Amino acid sequence: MDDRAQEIGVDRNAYPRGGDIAILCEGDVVGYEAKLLKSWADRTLKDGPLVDVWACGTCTAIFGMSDAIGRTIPVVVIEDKDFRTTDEVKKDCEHQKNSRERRGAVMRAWKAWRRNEIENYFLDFDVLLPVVTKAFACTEDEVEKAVEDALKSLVVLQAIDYCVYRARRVWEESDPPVMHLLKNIRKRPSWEGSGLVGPNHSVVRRRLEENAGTWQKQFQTDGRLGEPLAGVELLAEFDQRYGEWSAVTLDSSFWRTEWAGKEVLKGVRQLLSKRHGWWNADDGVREHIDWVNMSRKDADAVDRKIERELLPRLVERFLVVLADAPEKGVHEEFAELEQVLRA
Amino acid sequence: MHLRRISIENYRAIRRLKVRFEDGLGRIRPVTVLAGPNGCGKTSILYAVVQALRGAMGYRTDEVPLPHNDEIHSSAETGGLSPTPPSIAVNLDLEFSEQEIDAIPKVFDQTRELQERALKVPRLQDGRLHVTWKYPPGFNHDGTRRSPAYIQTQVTTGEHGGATWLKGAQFAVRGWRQKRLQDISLLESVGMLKIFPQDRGLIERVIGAAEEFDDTEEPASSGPLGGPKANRSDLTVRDILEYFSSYALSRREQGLAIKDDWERRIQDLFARICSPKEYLGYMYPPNDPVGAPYFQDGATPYPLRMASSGEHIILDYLTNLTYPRPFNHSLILIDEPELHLHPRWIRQLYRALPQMGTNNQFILTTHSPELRQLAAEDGSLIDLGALGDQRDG
Repeated sequence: MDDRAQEIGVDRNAYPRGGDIAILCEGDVVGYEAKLLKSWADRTLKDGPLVDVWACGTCTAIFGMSDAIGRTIPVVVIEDKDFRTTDEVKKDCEHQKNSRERRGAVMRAWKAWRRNEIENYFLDFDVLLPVVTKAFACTEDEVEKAVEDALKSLVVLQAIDYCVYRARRVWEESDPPVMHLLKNIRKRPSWEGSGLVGPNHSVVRRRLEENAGTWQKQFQTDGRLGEPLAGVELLAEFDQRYGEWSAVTLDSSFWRTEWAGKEVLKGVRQLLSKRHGWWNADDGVREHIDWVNMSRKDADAVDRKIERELLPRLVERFLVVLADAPEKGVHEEFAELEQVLRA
Repeated sequence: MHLRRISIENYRAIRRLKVRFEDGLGRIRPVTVLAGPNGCGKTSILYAVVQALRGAMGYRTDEVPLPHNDEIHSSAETGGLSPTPPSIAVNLDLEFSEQEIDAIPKVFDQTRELQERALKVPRLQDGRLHVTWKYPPGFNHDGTRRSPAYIQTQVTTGEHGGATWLKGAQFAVRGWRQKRLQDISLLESVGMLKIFPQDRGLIERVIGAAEEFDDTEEPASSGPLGGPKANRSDLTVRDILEYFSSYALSRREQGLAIKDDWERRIQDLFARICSPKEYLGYMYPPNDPVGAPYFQDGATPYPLRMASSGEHIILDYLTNLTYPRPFNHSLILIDEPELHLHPRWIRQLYRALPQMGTNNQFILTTHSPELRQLAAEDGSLIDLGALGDQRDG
């Protein structure tokens, strides 16, 4: 038990799970993080502490959960890196850890994934291809083509999400809401035939410029001090990201680490289920999913169903690759996590 | 042989229920966990599978009582205390693996079981078989009611006689015992059925009584599958562990390769599940010529009698799925495996199940939050409802 836990009189019996240490992460209880971390900890720490994983949904909720259980059991937090730089992550994590410790929580570590989010780790082809070719009954070439198509359709979305994230980092949502930047902007890809097509860049940029102008005026009329990220800077960020990322190919490395991986996985799922079909267990046939004529609600429900089947298979495959022939950075990352949990 | 779907009517706690053991891709899940409150029918599902198949497969077990009129579900809707209660009906959709489809005809051929009955190997469409079991089975031709112990199994396939496929394992074991089966590896290629009940008689199953131990039999020379003790039906886990050890030792002493080192396999799986504890093997310490299975916790060795109930139950699974023949392509039912187990061991047992044999299908029942959660994460949980729900599927 941590010295600090003893100091503040930890009573493990009050803890609602059986573990010795808790990992708090983002995502839902049946999401990628929870599944991956539990399966990984069960295999890796057979002779170490018993780990409980708490999926908290969002990073904000992690604060509350660390307060709620951190005085009873040592806590390790792993949050998404999102669109932050490595230095920003380091600084943020130190700050968060210290702030929770000041409130009496026993924080073993506060970390962030080295890639944008957990889904990015499943984009390595060693992980993705075996699972997806089997699930969609297609070839590796067809999966690679789907990934390439998905990447091209997502450039605008990733660039604009990057900008909005940066804006959110420097402005509180209420000063005024950052979401105003997205007004009347269609950022998601849409279906054309059997392909996903990204939104028109120049239209998106024009609207972003208009929105940024309006957004900025709100600060000025409110008479607030300073502008950590002016509208003009935000546009420059968008232009720079779009410029860099629009040249994306399968060989580029940034989409696996810097982009939001969940969007790439979603694009690949949808393209493959449209082109190669998805198994319908009720009547035992493979059906081509018609995403075009589906309401968003229905499309989300069907996509969740497909994702639910792929998720455990991707996690399982990731753990096999991690054990057999891990990518160096990923191996180091999980070795560090193991060290923290064993400490 | 795997179970794809089951429907049950009027059996024990179940009025009407359909359960599918497939995932969203139509593949049969290697592990399915049935959860729900007491009385919702979890154990009834396991028993229904055994009742439907025991006769057709020649599966002998005392763990599931033979069917009885009291087991007919008799809620008000189905007749209550009516003198003519409804019948139990269990329908199973089974599926044989490619290896079984290849192996079972060879078993028939080598054991000459079908030839002697002038039967042909029936055709099996897509490896699938539909089995119906009804109880009570009805009336004889002379109008008398059939014996309550009579188990009627009707099998429907594309061709008459499909039920013969269910005899593969029984014929293989019989052929091996009668020395008709030339290719002994066929024993490992044909799936069987096995149920592990809750812990009734755990200690007797695992340790047995010391005075019953019979050390007069010679170690087998033809490997674990050929041991003379294989004919015994009252072997304890302790006996089996001793046998594995003797087999490995005699092979080593003769300078022969150990083709199937089951003792090592049990050591590995035990360490995987019960870590940091280890199973050392069957050992003969000074002043103990009979010996015992020994374990180790850190640097401290201890015999089977000192092992915990959790260790006993894990050994029960590991040995019974290995002896007298390894269970592969089989349907294995475990009722509440969490009993006696620390949360970590539950997790590790769950993770180790796919490593127990090849291509086995496990169906578990549980009240354990740990196991329930693990299964939910894998999409392998079937929740049979909350307290107070009616079991009408």
